[in-house]
Amino acid sequence: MQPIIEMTSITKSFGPVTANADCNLTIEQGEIHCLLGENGAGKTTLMNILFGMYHADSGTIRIKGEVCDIRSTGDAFRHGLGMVHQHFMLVSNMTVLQNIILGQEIGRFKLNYKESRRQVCEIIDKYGLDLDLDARIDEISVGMKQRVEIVKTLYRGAEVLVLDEPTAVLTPQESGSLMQILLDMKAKGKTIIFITHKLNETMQIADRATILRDGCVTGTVQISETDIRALAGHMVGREVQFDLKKAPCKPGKVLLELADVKLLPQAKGTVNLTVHEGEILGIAGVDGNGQRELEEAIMGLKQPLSGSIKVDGQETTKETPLSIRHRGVGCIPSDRFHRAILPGLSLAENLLLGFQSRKHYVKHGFIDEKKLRDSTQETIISFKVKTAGPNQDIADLSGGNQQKLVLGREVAPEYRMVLAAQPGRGLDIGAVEYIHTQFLRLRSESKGILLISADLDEIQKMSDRIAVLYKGEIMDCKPADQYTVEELGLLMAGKRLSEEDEANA
Amino acid sequence: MTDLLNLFSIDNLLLILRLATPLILVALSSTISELAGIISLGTEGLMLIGAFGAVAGSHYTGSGAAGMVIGMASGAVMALLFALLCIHFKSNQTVCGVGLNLFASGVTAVGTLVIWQKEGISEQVTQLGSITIPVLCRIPILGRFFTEQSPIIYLTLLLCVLIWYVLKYTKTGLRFKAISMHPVAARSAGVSVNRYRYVALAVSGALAGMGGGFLSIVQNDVFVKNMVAGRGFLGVAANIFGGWTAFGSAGASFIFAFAQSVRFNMLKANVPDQFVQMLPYAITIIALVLFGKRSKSPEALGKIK
Amino acid sequence: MLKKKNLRPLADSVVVRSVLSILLALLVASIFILLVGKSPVLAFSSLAKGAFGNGRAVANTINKAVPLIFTGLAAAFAFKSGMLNIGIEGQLHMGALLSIVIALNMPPSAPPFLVILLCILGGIAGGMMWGALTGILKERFKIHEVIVAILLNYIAIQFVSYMINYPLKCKEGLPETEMIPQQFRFLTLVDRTQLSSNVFMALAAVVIAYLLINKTILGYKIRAVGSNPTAAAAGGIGVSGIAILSMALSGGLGGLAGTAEVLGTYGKLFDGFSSNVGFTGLAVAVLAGNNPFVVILTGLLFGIMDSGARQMNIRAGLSADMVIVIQGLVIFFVATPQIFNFLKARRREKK
Repeated sequence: MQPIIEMTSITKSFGPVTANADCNLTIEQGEIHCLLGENGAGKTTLMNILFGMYHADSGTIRIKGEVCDIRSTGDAFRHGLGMVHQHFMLVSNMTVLQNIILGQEIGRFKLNYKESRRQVCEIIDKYGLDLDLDARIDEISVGMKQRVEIVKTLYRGAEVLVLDEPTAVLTPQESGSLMQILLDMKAKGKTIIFITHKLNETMQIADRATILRDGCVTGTVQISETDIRALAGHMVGREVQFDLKKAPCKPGKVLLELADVKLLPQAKGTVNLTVHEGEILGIAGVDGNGQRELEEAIMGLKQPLSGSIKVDGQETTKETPLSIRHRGVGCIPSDRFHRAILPGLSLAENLLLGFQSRKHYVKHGFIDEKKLRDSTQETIISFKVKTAGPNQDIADLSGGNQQKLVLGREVAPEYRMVLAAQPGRGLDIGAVEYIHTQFLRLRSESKGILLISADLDEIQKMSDRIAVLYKGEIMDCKPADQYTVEELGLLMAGKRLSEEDEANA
Repeated sequence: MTDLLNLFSIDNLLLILRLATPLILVALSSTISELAGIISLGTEGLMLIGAFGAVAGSHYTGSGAAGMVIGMASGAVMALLFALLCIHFKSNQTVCGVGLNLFASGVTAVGTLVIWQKEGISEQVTQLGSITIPVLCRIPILGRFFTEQSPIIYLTLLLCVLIWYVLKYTKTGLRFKAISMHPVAARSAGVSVNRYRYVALAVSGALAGMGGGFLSIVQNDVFVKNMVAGRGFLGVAANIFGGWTAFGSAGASFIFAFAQSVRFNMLKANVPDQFVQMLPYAITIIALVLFGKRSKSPEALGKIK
Repeated sequence: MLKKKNLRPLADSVVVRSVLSILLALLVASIFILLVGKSPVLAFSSLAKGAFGNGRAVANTINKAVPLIFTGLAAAFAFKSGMLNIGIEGQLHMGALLSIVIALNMPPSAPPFLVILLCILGGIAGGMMWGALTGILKERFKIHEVIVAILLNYIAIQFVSYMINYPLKCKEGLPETEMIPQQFRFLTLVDRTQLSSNVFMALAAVVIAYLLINKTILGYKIRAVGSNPTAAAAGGIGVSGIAILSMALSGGLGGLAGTAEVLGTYGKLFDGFSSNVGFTGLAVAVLAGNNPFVVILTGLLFGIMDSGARQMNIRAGLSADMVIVIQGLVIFFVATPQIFNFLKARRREKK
């Protein structure tokens, strides 16, 4: 049987950076094929080329045996390809229906909503996808947004669906639903390409998998004939540590305390939590449930709607970000490029951020450049930041190295507590491992860490205690070993274990 | 006191309508440009080029209508060149807009000298005449609105409604809305985003050109160096104030025109001309302070990906 | 992804791009000049002659550059904080106004040094006030700074015009103020030219601006806000306050441009004394890559253009406004660095 898609010798560079080097990919009709690799391996670029968002420098694409030149997303649609992107391509102030028909509308000038509605309803009935066509995109849940993206592809007659890291934003239960939908679609004859960096997902759902590393294909395997360690080996090229050795937790006094804090207007309850010296408190939860507000409230960027926040027993709810930092609270924000680094300025100048009002590096209003440069050099060495030197523009560094500098800055001795939000996002395994090791070191030095992450694996691996955040409310908070994955998943979706039992009874 | 009541007389309302027309045109020009994602600071320059083009066109063809068309075309062409710099070459749009204003100021002044050998002011040309609408002009009081008015005024109001309709009910409008909020999403949905942008900028240029032409060959019959005198910027402000919508732009333009009309009514009073001249700008600032917070600019403004 | 190679191709250099922008602008301008039937060679040579044909011409050129250096510094300062100060023209007017009010109201026996110092401070204060107003309206009411600044420009120009024509009007009835007493003006450096010691004030301003922006903590905070306001806020910098302060300082520099003209070049204030120096300052800054020292060079460049325009008009029969066309073209090209990307491609092929 002829493969439905064949990508041969695809190479693509962006300036001096090579994203795909001589990649070969074969997709069989009716299979679920995983494209596996670390962040930055080139998976999304390869699929963007297939989908017409980019054009390859060299190589050929064959669809159903015929060579195709895909220069736009329109071409891709015509060949029966559809893509569900990692970052949703939805217009927030338009309705679900409008988003689905965009670009493929019915009607020459005036839009024919009646007919569009009929066609879309046919699709959502056929595949059992539950959607409110008149809801505005900025009012629906993440899971529903994803379903809108799927319907978009089906509306255009896609035979092959490409999904880019679809479970990154879902709870375990929502991921389960998604898997079910995909298996359903496979049964109805669709072909599915699933981009992911998660090994267990690949093992769970794929028929075959192709692994990318550093822009090259390192292997194509039949899932039934392989195991998770082999996949990891292809992905990283070396032995991967699956268990970090963690010393038992010896919590000291309370560093941070949140009492009755209301983060979101729609929250039914409030947030109560404490972080002690020498412990890692993990906040689990799907993005968008108040994590950002929690981070901003603690760091003084935005006041919570009500409640009190105390650092070292002192009320800090209404204090400025500067004074909270001076009290010893550091922060590695979730969106580091937008919120932690100053592009265009040197590494040394970036290290100064947060310390600009301390006496360290300031003499009579002037910057003590030598002292700053020496400090930066020390940090570069201790945290293994790959750079040409303290004067290099931070924007020239890779994401992982930028994060390492931010880490080096925020774990300075002046900070006794660090708030780390999604620290591993977008980084390769090596960088993530390094960061985790650093967190454990801080913990052994009696510092406190508040780890906010949507990555359940990370939370379970690192935390001493876990709290689950759902719609601005802490659903539960107890020692990590007292949770099951199932319970965590339910809490992340807003259901308590007891409720679920009742529902099933 | 009578002066105050005068502000609402038919004469003044007609004056406001005439003052508002060029403002509405540039405000609409700004709306379309910014919805397409391109900052419209060069509107002042586009308007000036349209004003010059209209006068030059009327000079060479002898017809006011032909002049107006040429004015619109000049605006459109200049806007397309600007679009090329911004879209294809990813220019810094704000600085480029300032350049456009400067360039327009220089090029029209040079053009005036070249065509008419006069420094700073052209010769008189044929205007685009007024019309009277047959039946409607008989209506008591309101009939004045249909008597001896420039067709451009009616055209402007029609354009306003047309643009509103297109944006709200048509395929083009839906795609345009998507482009203004999330161009990457529109592109991934198969919309040729850049093609829409170029068309939008051409329309935007033509509208600004029409606005300029109104100043030069409808309200006057000459081109004077820098005759636009800030109306382009008022149009940009009107668009922001009106929330990037067609009716909003029109509404805000009427408010600014009202402020301008006060100036004409105060000539009798013993107030120094400078204060009266300041009035529209001061009122604009106050209006923006009081009401400007409502709307958010289109997400994709200024970012060309 | 493979690691980025640390290339800095020549085409990325600000200097190269600026020079190319100027050359490309001159090229396009030449086409315009040919289209109107004049000779580009004659035009540019008469421009050069007008700008530095003799000693006095050079002095006048340098004098023309002074306000441009100030407005260029003002624009560069604002750019460093991530903002576009399009209100320099208005800030300039307010600075000039305050300077002349002080100068005209001091008793003639007052020590000149003190008076001049007060005028300078007044100029800075006038500009700072107008700049701060823009900043406050932007931060407090979230109005776009460009719109506010443009409106404030018109208001300032009208207000100053009122002052010139009413309270400050000179006895002869012309639309200008009285002359400032000679002892309160900047010293004329070269006889029968307009060049005065305001040149030194400009150079001092360049040095102070450079030190402030690059070596002080305040300058760091301004640059941090300019780079990434969200990250700056997260790092504890009060972004709103810095934004207003930057606009104020930028305005202060703009105000000094007014002081320079009033105390140095003209000795009085009159309608239209400025000729859009505020807007040209933006081009001066962008062309200089916002570097205070390079602003001296780009200020001189525009000064040459302004200074030589009259000769170009007389000898080559070309409208003096062609200079404005050239300036507009320079801004186009300097705002569009990607136009020069074709250079990069060629260079790689050669390798």
